Amino acid sequence: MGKQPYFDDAALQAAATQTAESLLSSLPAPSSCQHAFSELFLKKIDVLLQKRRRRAAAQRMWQRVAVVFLVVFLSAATWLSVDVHAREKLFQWTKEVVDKIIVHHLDGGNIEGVFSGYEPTWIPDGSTLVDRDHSDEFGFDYYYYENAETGQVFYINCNFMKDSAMTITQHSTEEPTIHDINGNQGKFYLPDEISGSSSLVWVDENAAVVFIIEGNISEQEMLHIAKGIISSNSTK
Amino acid sequence: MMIYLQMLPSPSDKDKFEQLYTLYRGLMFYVARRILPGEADAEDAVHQAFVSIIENLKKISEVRCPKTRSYVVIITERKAIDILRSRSRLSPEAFEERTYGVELPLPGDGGLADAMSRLPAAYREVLLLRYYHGYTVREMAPMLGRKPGAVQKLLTRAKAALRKKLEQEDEPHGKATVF
Repeated sequence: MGKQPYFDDAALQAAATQTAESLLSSLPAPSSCQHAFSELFLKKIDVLLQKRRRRAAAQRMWQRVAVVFLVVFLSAATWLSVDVHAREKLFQWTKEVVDKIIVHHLDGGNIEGVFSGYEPTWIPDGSTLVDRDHSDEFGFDYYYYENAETGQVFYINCNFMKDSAMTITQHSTEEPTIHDINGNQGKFYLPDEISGSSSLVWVDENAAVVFIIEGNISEQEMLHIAKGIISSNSTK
Repeated sequence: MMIYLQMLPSPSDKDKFEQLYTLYRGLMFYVARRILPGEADAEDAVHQAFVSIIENLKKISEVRCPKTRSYVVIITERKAIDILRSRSRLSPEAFEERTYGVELPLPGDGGLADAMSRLPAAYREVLLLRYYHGYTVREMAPMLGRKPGAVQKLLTRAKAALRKKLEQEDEPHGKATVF
């Protein structure tokens, strides 16, 4: 019986690296491997891609919600503890700027009416709806669009400002440009350094709804989308 | 607060899978075809590999690098062999010990790397995932479609097979390096 071979983790790592290099050297370059996949395969992959996009969009939405709650909690705690006048304003519309974040919120419950939803009547050519969410109970509408060819993405968020509803956007340090959006004052913020997305925010006080469009599309396209958003009631 | 904002996924995150798909699908099909005779089966293996990759996407940091290329090759080889195994009458362990997967040239060290490259595919794969990619047993389990206990057992058997291979090479030729 010969001597029992011994190898430690370092020897295994070195051998695994050589084996992996040998494996890769035996294969052609990815760019030179061409195959016309069947319709069935492409269909199955398409389902996988759609699922992935939906999951990514949902993840973005929930992370955004988490950030909103964090920001509102921190800002409200600071605000209420130092400003008596602010406490009196608690039951009115408020807009705060915290760092580079805008928070619109209302903690009242004195708003009449119901949220019936909103929908865009115009979107940029080539954009496809990849995620959509709506809740009468919580009062929000959410649309997420992508353009696979240009890489443009944007979302539209409509939040009914009742029962502590709140919403948020990020902006650059530049002053926003002001636009009229169907009789309401809209503020367009240039792309921020984190997401590279610009945003357009406006409040329809009669309907008690805050609208946000955010994405890497142009200012003109955002304004066009904004002006085309209508109540879902008017399409029923 | 900015830390939380930076948690928001960038567009590049959502594109990672599509980049992997675009870059590697042809290579993955090539690998699957070296194991499976039929095109439909090979496409099925590629699809199964993408399902596994999408579930473990966070483990991939860079799309264009040797480690990612090696990872997609290993996962595709595993899925192709799983298809073969589902049709075999052999027990899973006997099948694993007789299936060599993608044939690769000897690295030429006359020792451990040569022995590793001559192991059956299941053993070689688990050793590469552990020692080249650095994945833990728990991380490898979903990639290989096994429970952590089964992966640990496979890793132990792979090391035993490697030791045996070195012993065999040492006896007739005196070439294997004994550490």
